[in-house]
Amino acid sequence: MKVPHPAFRIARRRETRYYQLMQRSFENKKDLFKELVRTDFQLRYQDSLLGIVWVILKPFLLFLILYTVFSFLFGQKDPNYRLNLLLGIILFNFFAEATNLGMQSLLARANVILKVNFPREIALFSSLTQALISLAFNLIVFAILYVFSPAKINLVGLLVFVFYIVILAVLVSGISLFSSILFVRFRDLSAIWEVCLSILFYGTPIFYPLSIIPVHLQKWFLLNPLAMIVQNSRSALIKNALPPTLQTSVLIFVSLFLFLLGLVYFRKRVKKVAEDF
Amino acid sequence: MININRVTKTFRIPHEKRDTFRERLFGLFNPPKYEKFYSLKDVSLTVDEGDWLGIVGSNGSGKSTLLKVIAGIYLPDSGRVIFEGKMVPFLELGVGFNPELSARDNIFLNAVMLGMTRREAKIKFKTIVEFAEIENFLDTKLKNFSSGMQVRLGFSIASQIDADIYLFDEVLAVGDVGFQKKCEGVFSRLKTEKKTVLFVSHNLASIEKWCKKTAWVKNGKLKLVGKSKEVVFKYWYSTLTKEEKNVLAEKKRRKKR
Repeated sequence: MKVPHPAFRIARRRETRYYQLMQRSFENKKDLFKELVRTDFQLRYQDSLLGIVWVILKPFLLFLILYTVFSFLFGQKDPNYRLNLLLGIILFNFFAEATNLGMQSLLARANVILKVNFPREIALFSSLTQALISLAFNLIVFAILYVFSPAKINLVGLLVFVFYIVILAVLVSGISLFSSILFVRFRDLSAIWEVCLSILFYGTPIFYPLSIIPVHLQKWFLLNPLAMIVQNSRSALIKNALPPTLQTSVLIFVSLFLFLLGLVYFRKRVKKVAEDF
Repeated sequence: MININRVTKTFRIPHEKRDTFRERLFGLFNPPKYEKFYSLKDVSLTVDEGDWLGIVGSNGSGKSTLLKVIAGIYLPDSGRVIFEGKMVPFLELGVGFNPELSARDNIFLNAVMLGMTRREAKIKFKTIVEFAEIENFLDTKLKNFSSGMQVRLGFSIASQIDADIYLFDEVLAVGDVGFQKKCEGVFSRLKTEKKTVLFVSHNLASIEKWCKKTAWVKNGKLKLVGKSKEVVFKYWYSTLTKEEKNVLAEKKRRKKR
């Protein structure tokens, strides 16, 4: 039997050790992400009386208010006003919650970031996942309302909708990759962003239909990506209509570009940012 | 092996604090005055595999910054740190501990944060709990633990982390006598397993006990690296006041007679 050279054996052992470390480190990162999501979720609703119910209740109450106020205005023309309104609120709520959580994600974990070295993206994406969980709960409520409505679903419509959720998530991640870093040094960003969100709430066809906007202005309105996502999700789910191709490709391109640019920016800045906590 | 090659780390210290937009807006017209503070200045150091290096120095001398740069938490301005294998920093015990979570949840959270997988943490769970002696309080929220118990739990988890290089920053300062003994047990184990350890402490006796070599950091520079006994003594001597030094010299003289 041929005995391998000892140097070779040592090299081999080192290689396997290295391989094991890599594998374990990957599993560890996955587990860390899960652990952060789990504990965040637990902590968020631990000491409140209604707990997780608030996730659903908050948008639903807003829905009731807006419905009572505006249904006589816009409700007569649109038989699906209720669904349109609820979907708009849910999507906007997701956008608002995710961008807020994302912005605060690094600072919220400052104590950990200063003590252990793990990929900081995990902190950001675990925060964003909180918003995704809320979205999932809200969509369940939406699904219940949907079943009792005249609208009928088809597979294509559903797929288009899921696809739009993915784009929205990419867009939100892209924004958060920038804002989480900027927020560390520039705390006013949360106040500024709050104002932006309320402008966006009124600038997006949520409680009013796009059709009340003069036709020549509509295309400017749809430059707002949120308006585009809300509008196209609605027509996909409620009218089973396919989204306009050009518009959607631009949206995909912009979201992905923002995301990749954000990732580069984040990676470049995140180590430096630790000093400003 | 850890190779620290000419690492410099500065912090900018603003003379006036500007955190809000308004301050920054007006600040545009008179740019802020920053002072460059050298937390580490051209530090080079090599620690061989299986070696224990003690690090001593007064508060604010740059010991913790050095560990943070090695751990990759701070990016050095220049120079680099190269090491081989898996490194765990223990800059604080119980990193990520949340007072609102139960001890059980905190064990998993902290273990995963320090680089364990959840599977490993599950296997080592029993050992951790026994070591910390908290079998009866597993579902108690951490906020109801005494601070000593929290540190004890933190150390128990830390002691179960498997790595090649360990960075300890003043982690032995707390705990009762029985617990200190347990810590020593862990250290002996690390020693026999030939782990590489960087050990920051103000407890000079334990530095001398565990580390063959010691580095003395002063004002961000390596003042002295060498045998622990010499370095520790020189560091200790430098902290004495003039009178104390006189007393010491007097004693020496008397001994000679």
